[in-house]
Amino acid sequence: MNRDEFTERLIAYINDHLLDGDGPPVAANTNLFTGEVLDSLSLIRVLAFVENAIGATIPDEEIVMDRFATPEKIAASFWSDE
Amino acid sequence: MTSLEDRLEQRAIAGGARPHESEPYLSEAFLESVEHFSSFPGLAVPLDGATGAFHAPATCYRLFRDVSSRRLDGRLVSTVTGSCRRNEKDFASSRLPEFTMREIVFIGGGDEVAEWRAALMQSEGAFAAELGLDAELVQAQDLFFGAAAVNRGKRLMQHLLGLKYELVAPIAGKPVAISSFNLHRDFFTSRLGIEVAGVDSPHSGCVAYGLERWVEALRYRWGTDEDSWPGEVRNLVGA
Repeated sequence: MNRDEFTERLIAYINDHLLDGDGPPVAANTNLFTGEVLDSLSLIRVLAFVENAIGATIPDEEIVMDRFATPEKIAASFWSDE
Repeated sequence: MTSLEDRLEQRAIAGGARPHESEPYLSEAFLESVEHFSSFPGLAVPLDGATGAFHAPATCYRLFRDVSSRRLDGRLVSTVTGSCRRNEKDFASSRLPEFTMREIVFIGGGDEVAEWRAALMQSEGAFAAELGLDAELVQAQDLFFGAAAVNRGKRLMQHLLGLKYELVAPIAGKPVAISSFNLHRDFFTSRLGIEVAGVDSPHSGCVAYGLERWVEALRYRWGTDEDSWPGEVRNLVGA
């Protein structure tokens, strides 16, 4: 799986499992926080999805807006194609 | 301390807040409804005896309890003060088991709550500076979240969204939070069924003052003899 595929899977996970049809679907550049897409519980589920995919735990101090605001930022920050 | 407390109330009223008198203790059912026990395990202190009541861990809880299931005619700005107790023995030995907290609570639209908090962060930082305190505004997180996964989410969300700021001032050479500036989003309003006329999905926020800490910060800065404090400072705190 490369970064683009990871991004697509992350977007699909959010749209299919977290939004429950509420609001417009999330895209790669959708801010997950300004539109209140995520709450504290769904944030944990996204985090678990990403940690499971990369096979590592992400330290709390790395979860900042610059890295976590959008699906494409999450992928760029935490997914490695190598 | 009483004079500073009075001055803070006057400042709150001048800013548009209405004083709120309230029954000081909270029921277990109320604390359960705002997820206090799951978010902050072991923090609440029960009253002596099998009363089912708890000391308030924060004074804003009392106001939220009093406006539960109510439809407000418009935005609400209220100030409430009182004694708080928390079981904080695991966090720092210097923390007082009982302390006085004045709070100002704002309930209204999300944008106006955020603007209100921003204005208070500026005005109260300036007030601390006028008092000669070397205070600094810093982003913060609640220390007391429990270890459950959902509490990690609450803690991360608090940080990501900048929901909590603290005004920290030196006491005994260490930075100590003397006030906090908090956005709750719709946490309380949605769980407690609080509605505001003309506002979809109202938000809330609060500003808290730890009275004993403000006094300690002033004493650390100017000395324990209040009569020797600069006249301007004494005037500002009503000493």
